[in-house]
Amino acid sequence: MSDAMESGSPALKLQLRGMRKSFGTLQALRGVDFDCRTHEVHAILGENGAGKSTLMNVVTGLISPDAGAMTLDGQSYRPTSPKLAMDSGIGMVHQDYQLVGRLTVAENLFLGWHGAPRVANLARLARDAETVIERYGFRLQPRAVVQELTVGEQQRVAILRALVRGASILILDEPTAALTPQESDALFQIMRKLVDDGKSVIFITHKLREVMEVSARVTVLRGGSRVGSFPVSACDERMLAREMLGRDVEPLRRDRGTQGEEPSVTLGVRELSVRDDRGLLAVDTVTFDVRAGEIVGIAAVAGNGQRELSEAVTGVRPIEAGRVEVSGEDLTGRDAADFARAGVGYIPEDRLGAGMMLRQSVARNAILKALNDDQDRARLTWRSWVRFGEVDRFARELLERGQVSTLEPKTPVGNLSGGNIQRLLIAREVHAARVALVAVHPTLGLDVGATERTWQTLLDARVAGIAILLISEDLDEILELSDRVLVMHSGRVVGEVGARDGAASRERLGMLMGGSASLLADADAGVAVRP
Amino acid sequence: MSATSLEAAPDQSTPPPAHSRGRWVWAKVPVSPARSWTYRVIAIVLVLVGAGIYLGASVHVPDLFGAIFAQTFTTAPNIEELVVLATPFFLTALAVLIPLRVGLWNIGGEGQFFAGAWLATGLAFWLPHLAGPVMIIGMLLAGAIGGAIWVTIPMLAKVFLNVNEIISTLMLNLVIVLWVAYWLTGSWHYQASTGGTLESRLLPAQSHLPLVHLEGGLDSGLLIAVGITAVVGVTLRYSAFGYRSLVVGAGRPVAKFTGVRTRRILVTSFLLAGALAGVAGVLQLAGNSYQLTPGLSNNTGYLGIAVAILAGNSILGLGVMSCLLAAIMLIGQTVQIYGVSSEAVFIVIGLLLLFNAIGEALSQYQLIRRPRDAPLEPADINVEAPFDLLDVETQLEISPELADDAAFNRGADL
Repeated sequence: MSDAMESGSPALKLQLRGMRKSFGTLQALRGVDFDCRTHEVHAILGENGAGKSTLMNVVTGLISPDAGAMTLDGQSYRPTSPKLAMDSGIGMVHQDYQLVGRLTVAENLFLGWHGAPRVANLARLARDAETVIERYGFRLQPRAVVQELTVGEQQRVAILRALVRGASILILDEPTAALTPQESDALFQIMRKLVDDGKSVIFITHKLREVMEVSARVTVLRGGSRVGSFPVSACDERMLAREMLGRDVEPLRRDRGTQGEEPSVTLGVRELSVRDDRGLLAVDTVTFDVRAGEIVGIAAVAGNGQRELSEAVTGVRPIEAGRVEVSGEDLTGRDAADFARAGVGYIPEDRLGAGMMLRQSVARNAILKALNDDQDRARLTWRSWVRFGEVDRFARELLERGQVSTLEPKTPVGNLSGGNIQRLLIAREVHAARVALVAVHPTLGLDVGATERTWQTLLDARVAGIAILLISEDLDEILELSDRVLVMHSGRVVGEVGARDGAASRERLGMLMGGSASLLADADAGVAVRP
Repeated sequence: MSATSLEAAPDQSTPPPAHSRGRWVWAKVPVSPARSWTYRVIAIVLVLVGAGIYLGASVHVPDLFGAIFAQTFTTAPNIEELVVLATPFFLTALAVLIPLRVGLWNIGGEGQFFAGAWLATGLAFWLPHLAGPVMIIGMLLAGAIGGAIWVTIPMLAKVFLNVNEIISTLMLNLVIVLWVAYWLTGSWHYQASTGGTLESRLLPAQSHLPLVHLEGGLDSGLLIAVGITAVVGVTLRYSAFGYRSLVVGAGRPVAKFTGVRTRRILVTSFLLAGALAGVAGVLQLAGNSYQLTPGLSNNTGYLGIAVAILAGNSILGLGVMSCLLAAIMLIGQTVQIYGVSSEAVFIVIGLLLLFNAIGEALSQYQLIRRPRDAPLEPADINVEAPFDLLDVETQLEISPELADDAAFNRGADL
């Protein structure tokens, strides 16, 4: 935490009183108060739809409030456009950084800014950029092309772009969503440095741990209202979760079933190699087992072969070399229908494109996998005819089990919200997973409540003896659910980490995900590193 | 165009400036069959009314429309003619609709129609002594086989080499017409034909489809076409094959995710389509003209595409639209008496397809007014500034190779 807390009375920077905004019948903000001081990282915590983004869009002049007053440095502040907000010293870094990928760092920093040199060439811009990069101590090459930077570096460019334009308040919208733990730590250091320099940072997030780690105060929003603002030193994660959700977080039930002997290997992957769409080797001689009643997490930064792995072990993608076994049966070279018949469920990354037929009804989507399952097919078909009455009942069961808001099987899936489509898909695939389930980012885009329910569903499936392969970029999710975690980097499994070692495993995971396996290989006996 | 006029429409007597009340945007609305059919009917009515206005302005006959109606629709033979005209559309439209379910375009209905008619003619000439029912069933089967064979070529090219089926099916239409002409100038040539007209000898009498109503020309072909359409409709809707064809039509990722045997479904769909178009040829041949001519189809294969599009994946709609197109063609024949060009029919059908496409797009949107400062939804199209939605990143998006070049060039400059 910054020295702002100790310095007694830090100056009030931005003050919002009674902000109201409604869109049609939806009240997005119901009279929200908010204060932000200088020398302060102030977190705004809330579920999706709590009003975080609307509040910040009001501050940055994207939308005008229905009622309420704002002051900035004690002066009345009424931004009528994002440009005015920026000129007043408020800079926002959106989740997509809105950079021009083909241009260099220097060009992106000065693009579209009235303070940029009128006549400029890259050499001049790079010199100017060098100066500001040094001033803030960022590690960036001014002449690097943005699309070749890592996500963390691109984010730094976006932050620096706001700073160049004279931002004294920096608003970061879910900044850690796409970062590795190490990149997140680097970002937190930047945030601390900025507040030491006298800036204010407003940090929008729904991750409790990050609130605790980096911010001085936190304002919790729920349903468009402010629940309260608290100094973080007086908070703990449990209390924040309660304030954010308006109820206690139910602890996940993770009791194991009665197990005598060692559970059998359900999903066996042997020296598996898979090529991606461009024909490059995406998965390179990977070997692992998932046993019945076990959740094995795969942690990796996006694009390290985990997607191709998930497709290969469900029959969706052809295998280059190696074997995949389900319940002891060799399914190498078989297609997705055979894997479904063997009882493998699959929650794919591309839910809307691959997992659902958006133009077709809920009922028709509900049986996408069921016609491959002998048991379900006996119920849902008669000879080569589909029994649509029975299909409707089947779809209603899935809708109920997935707690989808509609219970009408005739609705086209494309008319449902993204969250509802995802719940339907999860319900369908968990039903299809009689022996194994491959889940890719199962809770991406779900709100906290639905995430909890999905996690519980996965844990219940585990208790029921299903072997689960969990692939996610969300380390919290991986560590929360997995019994073991494998780390993939450049298509190889570079290490295995026990999931119950708390902060230590998080740090190891981060280093392995970043590809520093060789550093760890000898140094740490707790991590099994494969050559 | 419609947007600006609509913007001016709300009560002009009390004119608060438009910007204080928000801006008009096309907002995406959930799809529903009712909505889509409403727009389709509006589109059709607009075209027909427009055609009527044009007709009324260019032809000066007292009580023009009464006359046209009387001469086209009032007598039983007229109605029968309408039905006879509509009959082959049922099947050639199905020949488009079935591949469309799996996401492919069969433009070759015309060629498959001729392939079916050709093989059936061959059967009738080569085995002229078959008994009546055997002959007719044999010809129907021959038609189905002929159409299926003709679609096999583009089908194999599509399934194994990914050759564009639109082009291959269309091109083969030209080939089959020449193939038929070859036979009509050769051994099947009708010696008595005048002035070297290309036509075959008349088919043996037992190969003619029985008439169901002797006064008019109504033959049993209609019953066969309706029967086949009903069976195919039920199959598509309730069978596992019909369901799987929807899965394939939903796109490659879904098909791979589900493990549907895509090739098998594609092959079946194409063969079924070709067979149905071939049977349409036989119905026209054995029910109507009793001889093979290059004009046998009267564009039935191509018009089937129009029917299928207007029917919008509905078997009931397919029946209705077949009759609509037949009626338009009949009216076209009637108004030729008044000096209207025979091409007018195709202009009207073309406009129908165009307006139908516009209506289809519009049915997914609703013109609503959003508060000026409300953020645009991703699916909104801002009427005032339709290019709002194209952000810089999208406009600059270029291929990776080009991007590499750009990076390389920049490096060279420095």
